[in-house]
Amino acid sequence: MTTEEKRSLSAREAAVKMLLAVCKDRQFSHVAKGKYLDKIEEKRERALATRLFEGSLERMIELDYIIDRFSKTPVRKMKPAIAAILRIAVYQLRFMDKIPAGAACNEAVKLAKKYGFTGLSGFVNGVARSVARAEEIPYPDVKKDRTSYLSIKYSVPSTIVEQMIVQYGAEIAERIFASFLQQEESLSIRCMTHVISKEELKECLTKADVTIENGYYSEDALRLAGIDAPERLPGFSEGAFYIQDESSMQAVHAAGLAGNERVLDLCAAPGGKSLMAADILAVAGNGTVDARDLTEAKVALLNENIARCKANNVAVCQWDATVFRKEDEAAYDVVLADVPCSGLGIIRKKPDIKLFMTTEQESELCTLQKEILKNAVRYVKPGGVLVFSTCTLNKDENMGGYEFLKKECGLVPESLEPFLSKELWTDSTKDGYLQLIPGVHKTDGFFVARFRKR
Amino acid sequence: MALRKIRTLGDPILQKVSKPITEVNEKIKELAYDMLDTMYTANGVGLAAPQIGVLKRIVVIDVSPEGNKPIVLINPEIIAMSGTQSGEEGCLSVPGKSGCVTRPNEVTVRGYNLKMQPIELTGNELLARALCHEIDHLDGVVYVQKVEGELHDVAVQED
Repeated sequence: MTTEEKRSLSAREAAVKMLLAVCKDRQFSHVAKGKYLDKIEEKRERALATRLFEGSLERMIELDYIIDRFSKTPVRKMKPAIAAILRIAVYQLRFMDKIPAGAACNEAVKLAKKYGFTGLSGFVNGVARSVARAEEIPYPDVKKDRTSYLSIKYSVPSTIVEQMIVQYGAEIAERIFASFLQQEESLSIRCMTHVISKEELKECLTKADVTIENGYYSEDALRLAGIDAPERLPGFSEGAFYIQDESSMQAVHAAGLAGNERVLDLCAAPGGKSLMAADILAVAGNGTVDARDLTEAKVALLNENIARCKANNVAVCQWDATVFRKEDEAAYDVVLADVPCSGLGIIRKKPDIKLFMTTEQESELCTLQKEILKNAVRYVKPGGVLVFSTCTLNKDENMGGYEFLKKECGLVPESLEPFLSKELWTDSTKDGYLQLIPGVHKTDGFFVARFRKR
Repeated sequence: MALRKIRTLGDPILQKVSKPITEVNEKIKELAYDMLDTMYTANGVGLAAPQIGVLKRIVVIDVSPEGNKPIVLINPEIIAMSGTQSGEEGCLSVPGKSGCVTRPNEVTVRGYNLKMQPIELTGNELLARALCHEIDHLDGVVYVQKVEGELHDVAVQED
């Protein structure tokens, strides 16, 4: 007899299931992890499964290139399960020194049989062993085909390769691609200063043997090294800090809050910017934040984070940002519009983004962003501030939104320099916008622009 | 260690009734150890001799998460059962599929161990399910005959 129920999953099987959930059922990687990781009993096996899954997602284009060199059937024509089993096997063979080649191949064959592909187990065996025997597998010639070379070397789809080269130049583009594959050195958190002082938080984390550094660009940010389960850190459940990249903190800095403003965060979930604004307002005055998002699930997530961080000056409401809300017209001193975007800036954290983003989706997003921005402008009081931000690198979205607000909505860009740390000043910050670039800045990719309404 | 070939659905041997074992000789012991190896390698929690093409009344079971509590039963018979449980069940002879089967929640089985000493064993939940499932095999019954509703794919769809 077999059972799914009590027998725990092996690391490799869990990795295959997670990869299938993402590649075949188009689930988000964090959803797939939530579904299968806790079915693995042992901590070491869980770590292996995570590494196999995330590694194969991140390197998928290179893995497929390798597999295609040794397989008569190209990966895109394989049954999804066979493709997933081979990707996981080849990832172990090419990127993990500690796993013996024989083990990687045998486990792949076993999984193929277990999934009912007895007839294909010989094929899996053949491809895996050929890859294991191969010494070096050359990339395409960079001089003849730079796009394919970069695409395979950094596992970035060629459309994104070309887009980034056009927008940023070859040198910066390559630094961006390299950053996608780098492990993040540290976890960025922000101290909730209305709950605890930064010094007290540092002391409490130091006691728990956490290595701490000050943030690079924000006063209340800390960088923690070597953390795998931040929700288990002291202070987390008490709301002493919020996990937030320093890039997204700049959007709230750009708002230049004094303490008594009425703030609206249009696309607020999971809540980092709302909570940071609320924290600043609670310490310096009596300001309030209205946080909105589209779905029930997102609103629930917002409420959870707000409760944990004890922010009682935030009100949450479920609302579609593309729909204008009459009663909010000209009601806010500050509006934060962190609009849905292609997410190219956070590929390091969510490698599945790069695999599924298409140019059509990007242009659809541009249209959606303008719809939201149009409403956002109307919520700002005359003389108030609008902050437009995204977590993408795509200039069509970022500069597209910037030009739209400036030319079609008649807003006036304002210099970001009074609000940002000097290291972030660039040629453009005087003109009211900042593009953060992973590989150049020590953050995710992020765009922020500040405007005043006349 | 020797791995035996697992017969899959469609093989007529799975529908035959197995014969009782009269004495435990070296051959039977070897059979039992091979069955355990085959079961562990295939990530199963139970295996009956007819599944590897041997029509003898012997089953092996291990429902522990660690896979370190093997049970070998010779000529097993269910002597008592109580309660019911409905849940997903799969079979090494029906790879990649599973289906919902209702079984007793607790069963008591009498049989012999590898020293041919009589033993009695009571199991509930997963162990009860495994005992019923494996003993069915000895009588030529595969769980697909007892599935309520559709048999479905466990992990992947063929497409």
